[in-house]
Amino acid sequence: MSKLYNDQIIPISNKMYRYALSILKDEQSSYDVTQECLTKIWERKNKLSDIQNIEAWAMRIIRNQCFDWVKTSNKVEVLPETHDEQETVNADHELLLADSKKWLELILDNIPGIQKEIFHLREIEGLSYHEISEVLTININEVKVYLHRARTKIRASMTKIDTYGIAN
Amino acid sequence: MESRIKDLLKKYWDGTSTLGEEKKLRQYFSDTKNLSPESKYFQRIEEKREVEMKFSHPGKNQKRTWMSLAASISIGILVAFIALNDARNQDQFTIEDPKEAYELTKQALLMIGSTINEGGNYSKELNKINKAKTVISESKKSNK
Repeated sequence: MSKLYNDQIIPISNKMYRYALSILKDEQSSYDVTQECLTKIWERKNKLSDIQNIEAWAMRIIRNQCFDWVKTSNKVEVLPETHDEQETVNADHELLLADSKKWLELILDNIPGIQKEIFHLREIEGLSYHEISEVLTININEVKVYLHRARTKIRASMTKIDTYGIAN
Repeated sequence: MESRIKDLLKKYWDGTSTLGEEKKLRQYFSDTKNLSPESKYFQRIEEKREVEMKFSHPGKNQKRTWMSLAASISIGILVAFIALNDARNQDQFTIEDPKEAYELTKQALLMIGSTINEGGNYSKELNKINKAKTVISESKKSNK
């Protein structure tokens, strides 16, 4: 049964880590949470054959583990788990963006949590709409709508920065 | 920019691109020297995809625990074996026969005794010196 773990969990352990990092924004905490998660999955390795989509399942586990970790430690400021559409980007912020190498992260910090998560799962981890809907337990249409909104906001921020001529 | 890429970008921003098409975009922009915000954007995504970390295998940790347990048990057995063997070796110097034991003890005591006698001879010499000292000091007194 450890074969299933070696073949299907080990190759996605970095995806799990990056997802944790996108939520917790702290390398050490993300590493600890991922390692803990891998141990938990290993303990349940005999049940892995019952799971339809192991990748989506593992990503959901790491997500829950991250939010549990935040609740118990209160060490890091985590992205709010909200669907609200409040727009917080302003001109000063965009000037700051232009000077920073982490401009994409700064844009992402200003989009709602759920959109940011969907963006990460799609763009960085290459999950399908169906897999993302399983990870977040929302329906596929919501996934598509939120991803589109996230991309639109990123594009708008990029265009504004480019117009100022200080995007580099 | 190629029209093929322009079409893909349009689909991407409209939210209708597939995973395969998104991969093509990333590949195109990672090779290009184009410095547009879009190429920077796809390059940054590619960089974020490469973040990696090494994790220990939970199964190997278990194996390691078992191995260290086995190692401590074998060290314990080794120590016990050495201690027992040592005790057995000490038994080899124990003499069971009373006569033999008596002879050996006598020899040992004689050896010590002769050393003490040697010490006694030195003390006789010292006594002679002491006598001579008193004779001298008494003759000094009588001269006064």
